[in-house]
Amino acid sequence: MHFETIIGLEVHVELKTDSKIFSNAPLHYGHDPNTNLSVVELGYPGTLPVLNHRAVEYGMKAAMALNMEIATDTKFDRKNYYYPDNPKAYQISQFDKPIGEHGSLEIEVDGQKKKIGITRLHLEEDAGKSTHKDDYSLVDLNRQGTALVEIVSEPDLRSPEEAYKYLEKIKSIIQYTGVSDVKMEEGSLRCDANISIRPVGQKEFGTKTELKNLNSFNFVRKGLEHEVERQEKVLLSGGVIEQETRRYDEKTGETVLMRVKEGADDYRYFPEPDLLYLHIDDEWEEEVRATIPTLPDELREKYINEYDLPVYDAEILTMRKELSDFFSEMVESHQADPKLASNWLMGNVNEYVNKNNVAIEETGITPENLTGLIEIIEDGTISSKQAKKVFTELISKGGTARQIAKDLGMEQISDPETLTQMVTEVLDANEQSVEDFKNGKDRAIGFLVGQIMKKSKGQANPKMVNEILLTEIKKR
Amino acid sequence: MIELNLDRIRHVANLSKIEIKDDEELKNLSTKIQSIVAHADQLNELDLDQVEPMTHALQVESKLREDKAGQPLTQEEALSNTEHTENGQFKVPKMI
Repeated sequence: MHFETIIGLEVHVELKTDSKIFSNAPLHYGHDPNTNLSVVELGYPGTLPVLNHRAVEYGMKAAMALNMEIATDTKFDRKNYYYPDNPKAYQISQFDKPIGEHGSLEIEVDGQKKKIGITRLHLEEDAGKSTHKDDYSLVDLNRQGTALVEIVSEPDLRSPEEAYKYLEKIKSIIQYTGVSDVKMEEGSLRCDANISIRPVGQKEFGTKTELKNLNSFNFVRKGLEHEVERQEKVLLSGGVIEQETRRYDEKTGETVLMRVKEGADDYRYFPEPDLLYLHIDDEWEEEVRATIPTLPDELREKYINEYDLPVYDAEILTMRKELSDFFSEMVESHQADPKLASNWLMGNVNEYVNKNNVAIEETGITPENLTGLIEIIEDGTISSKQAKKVFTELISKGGTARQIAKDLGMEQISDPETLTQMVTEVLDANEQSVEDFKNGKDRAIGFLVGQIMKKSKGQANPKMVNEILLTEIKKR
Repeated sequence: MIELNLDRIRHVANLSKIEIKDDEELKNLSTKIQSIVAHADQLNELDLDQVEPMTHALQVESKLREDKAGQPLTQEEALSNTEHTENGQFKVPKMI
């Protein structure tokens, strides 16, 4: 029997506001525990939430970038549950009137484009963080009240690979809008997955399980892959899938039962009485829409069609806004050759940035000086081997490639007269090799080039040396 | 009117983390809750077909706050209402 996989993803994204969604408490990742709090996050009696203007705009921006319709009238609701990471015993969220609905994005798997529906995007507050010890737990509430959007996909994903691509796309789109850092390792992007399988041809969905603890895109893919296998085994052996929440275990690569869900979640939602309606008029909507930059899909097409970049290059360059901004500036403002610019960015620049865990704008490299480096390689001032050294200086200290090459004493000698002079001297001093060459010993040429390079202390332009040497040797 | 049998009351109590001692207390609670619900249910006697549903008594829009961070509480202040702390965190009973 063949099965079809059905996956829907819930993605949580923390918004990069300066203060919490319902209070003016600051938020910083990695601060000492319980130092980013006001009485609102602590749920003290008599405190009231006041909605953060920027949090709403960021939510709108994310929703627009995901092609959603923005609600004209929206509101907040209480989701009730008791857990120590949430002192109010309810989370302020949005139930029936989310800020965005009916969106979509496009993924590409094996060269096939596919549109994935996005049901909704709503604003809510994040909860605190708990650490579990042997017989007690510790709670740090710093994260409590951080503005969050939850993005719920339609059950349109048909494989773990599609889920992976969907996440990559969400991440890059949100990153382009600038509303979040979308760092999974810091928890500013988190993902839960719903997954079920059904015999091919069957219309009804099978019973789904929910996967949690998916701490990287790879774990999402692996966790889903394992869950597909597990569900198939259960069904093929005549069993039934229970509706349950499972956790992905990174060590074993398996999913483990957390809890069986008995009936639907019962959060007893009701309208948040402490907040009023939120009305979004056309003017405000258009104002926010105007702040959305060109998004990765559009850029990707431009790079392929206008700059003749391979699809692979275009995809890598448009994954992060800093990278495509950098590339666009090289090509558009400094007339760099697109493919050469792409090679440097995807190769050496990326390697440096990843290895040193820094952002590209924190390094010494700029669109202007990297273009300058490409120029002096192309005009033969330095060799590509020397370029690596210049690059290392450039990215760690900044400056211009030409000056660094000069300071390192590595400017290539490309002046034909100087080179001819050197070639003549070497030929005069090595008559035997000239003779050998004329007698058909091609190897002699290598020896002669070596001598010239030695004479120039490695600075002669090798390509020109070869040309001049052949011309001069034939004259003898 | 929503039927409020004992099972349902037990379920809601459980969700709200309210402990009900015994069946007698459960029945007692049930009688009280039934009367509260019956009281609220009088609203259903009104003819509201022509009235738009509303979720707030006040038809006023939210005032928004500018995204500006203020001075947070110190860790000491944040933890000042409990004796159960460890390393600057709230110490709570085992959760999982």
